[in-house]
Amino acid sequence: MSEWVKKRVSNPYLRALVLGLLDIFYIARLGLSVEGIGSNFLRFFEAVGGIVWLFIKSLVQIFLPPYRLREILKQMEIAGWQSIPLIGITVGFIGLVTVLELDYQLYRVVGNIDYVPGFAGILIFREFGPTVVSAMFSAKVGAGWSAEIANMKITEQIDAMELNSVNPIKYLVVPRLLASVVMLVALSVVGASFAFFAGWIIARQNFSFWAYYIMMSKFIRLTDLGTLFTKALVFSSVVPITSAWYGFKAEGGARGVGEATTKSVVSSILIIILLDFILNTLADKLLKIVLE
Amino acid sequence: MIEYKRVGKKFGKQWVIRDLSLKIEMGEIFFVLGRTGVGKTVLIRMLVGLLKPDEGEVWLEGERVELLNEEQLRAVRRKCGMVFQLPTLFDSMTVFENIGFGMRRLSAISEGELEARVKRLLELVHLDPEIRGYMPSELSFGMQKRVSLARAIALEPKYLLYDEPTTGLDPFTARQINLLILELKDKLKVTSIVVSHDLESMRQIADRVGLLEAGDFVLIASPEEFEKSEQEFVRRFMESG
Amino acid sequence: MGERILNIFSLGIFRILGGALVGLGNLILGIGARSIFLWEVITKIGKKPFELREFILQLYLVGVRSLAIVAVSGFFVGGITVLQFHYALSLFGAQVYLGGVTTSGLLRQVGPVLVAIMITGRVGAFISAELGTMRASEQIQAVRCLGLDPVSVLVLPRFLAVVIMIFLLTIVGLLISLAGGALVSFFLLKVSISYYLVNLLKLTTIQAFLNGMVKSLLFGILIATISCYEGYYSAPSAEGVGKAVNRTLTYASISVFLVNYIITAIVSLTFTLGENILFLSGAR
Repeated sequence: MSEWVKKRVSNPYLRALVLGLLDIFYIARLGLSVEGIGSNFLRFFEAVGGIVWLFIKSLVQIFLPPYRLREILKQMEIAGWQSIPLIGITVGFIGLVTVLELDYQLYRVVGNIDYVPGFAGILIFREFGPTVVSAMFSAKVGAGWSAEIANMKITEQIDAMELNSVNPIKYLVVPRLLASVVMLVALSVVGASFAFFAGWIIARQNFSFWAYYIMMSKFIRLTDLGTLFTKALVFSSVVPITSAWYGFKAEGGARGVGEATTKSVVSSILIIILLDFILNTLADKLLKIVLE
Repeated sequence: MIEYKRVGKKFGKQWVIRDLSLKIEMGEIFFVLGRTGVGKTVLIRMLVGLLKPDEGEVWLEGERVELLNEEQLRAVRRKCGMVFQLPTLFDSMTVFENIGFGMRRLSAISEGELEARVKRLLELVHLDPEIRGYMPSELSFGMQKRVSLARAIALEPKYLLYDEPTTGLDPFTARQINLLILELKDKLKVTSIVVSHDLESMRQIADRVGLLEAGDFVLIASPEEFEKSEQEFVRRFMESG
Repeated sequence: MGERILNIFSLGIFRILGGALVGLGNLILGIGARSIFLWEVITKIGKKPFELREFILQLYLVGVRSLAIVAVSGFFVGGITVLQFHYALSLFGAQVYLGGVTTSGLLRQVGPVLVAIMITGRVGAFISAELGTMRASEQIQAVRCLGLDPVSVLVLPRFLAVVIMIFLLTIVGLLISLAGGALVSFFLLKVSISYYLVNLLKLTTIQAFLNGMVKSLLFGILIATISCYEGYYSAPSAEGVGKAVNRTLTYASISVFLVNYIITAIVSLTFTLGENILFLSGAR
């Protein structure tokens, strides 16, 4: 086919275009074939399965000695401190945008903006607090961890560990897992508060601080704060386990490290979104059951 | 014609090259000898503007290279083919695309002509033209080096700069590369600068040799004169290989 | 004694101020450097020869890599948005506006930002790593030695591919998230179709869609610039590549949220006023 094209089309740009399209069509035919799509899905499920299994193994390892408190504290510092600037800035802007956007939406819908703080509060405490903070955490800290562990894998340090009867899960994953749980919950709370104050910067055109606060608290129940905690707790285990899992699987030199990092960030965020969806659905159902 | 006039280069506070002058004759193979890290690579990189000297002038075909900007340097670089120490092939492209990289973009030739030229280049470096569909990672180190050589000569440069061409190769393959360097000098009528610490290669291919140490050439002479030299440092260096 | 305390105190202040100034200076320099890079890339667009083959290949790679992720995340985030909005709206009895507000919110805010973040993670990090690895293995030097311009040859095709693909994928992501939102409201919230649609057309304007598309274009340029810059100018080592990827993720995320705020603020100041007047006076 390409021979035919080369002979018939003389304009080099046109020829390059057609040949390029042919190449892509050929690759696409392979990629989009049933095996192609199917195998992608299979790989993702395989990944999820592997990650869940690693999570269980790590949970077990938490309770076995030695308990390396210093390592855990060190990871907590990395996880907590390093991500504060990124999370602070992103959540801050989210707070600003939420109130701005809700001003616009609610004004059109009900004609006044009284309910904006309440609505904003719901979004901030139930969604943006845990979810966005976790996503940013994954992008900064999770990426760092998977790069670190992937590097160790390709320099064969993981193998060296196992040969020395050190369990890499105990040594590498557990401290990061514990650090994540503590830090991400804290960061979610801090992040939500940040968004709260950022929201006020916009809302102060129309509300006094007390009005803002009170309007918001009218709509936020204790269960919402509970949601914040629960979500943060659940998401916090996703990031370290996923990063570690892709890190352990890395191969192929510097390129492998890059691949592991990319895949772990994307997978973490995807899993967080899925879990968020499931938790939201369950929360509604639970609430219905409780109320009836 | 290539000439270095009182060239100096420092990294931080350290002068790596100082007050160095050298004239390369047309059509010769000039061998830059020296210990590892003494600055041999720095020397040839200044010739194509990858590094700029802190002192002195670097002349190539009547132009002062160190004064040219990036765009002007491009024309200069097409006259020089550079073979890096590591093959440095584009690992996301096939051998064919690697070799044809420059030709495709800089000369208005048809795909058919390109294929023919790549085939001829592969034969020149004694590689089977069949490998043109392979990816660099599928080739041995020696084969990668030859492909990078083919890529360097693709644009028919008048000067070839070799950075440690035989380093990391077994003596047999090294000898084949050296023979190739000699062949190219004859067939393509190029002027070559070879940078290496390999004394055996020097004996096989050099027309003239310069021993670089402490920022300047300790001796510039023919290989025979090097063997017979009475200079302290030269003798010690020659005795090591 | 008091003087000593004052000295130490003022030293501390100066250090903090100095640190802040240095930080600000770095920020300005950083933004400047990347803007210059962006300018450099843009000026090379018209130049011949154009890397057509490489460009099309990159379009394919960027698009195919991100499509599944945009689709899946878009679908579920659409669902999440509907669930949360339903909860909030029901607290003050405005559930009837669910369809409209959700659609408008997804088109204007959630959609473009979500797609931007997902692509930053999937493609942005990848391109930084790719270019960074090329820098580390001297492939960029090799291109220069062949007398070619690495920015035209390596960076430009990737840059354009990212910008175009983010724009196109945002459209796909928006549609899928709208579908996800609608499906979730039908099946999980048991909201009927007519109920969902009743205010949708009234509340969703072309302006909302345009809003989202303009944002996605800007996000595309941001993400393309940052990921190409960090990779191209990374330190030539394996460690350098890792740091470059980290920087891309961080800076790109911050930039997306920052620009999102700026656009939202500008839009709400100018257009909304006019539109609200039109809306409330019934002229639609």
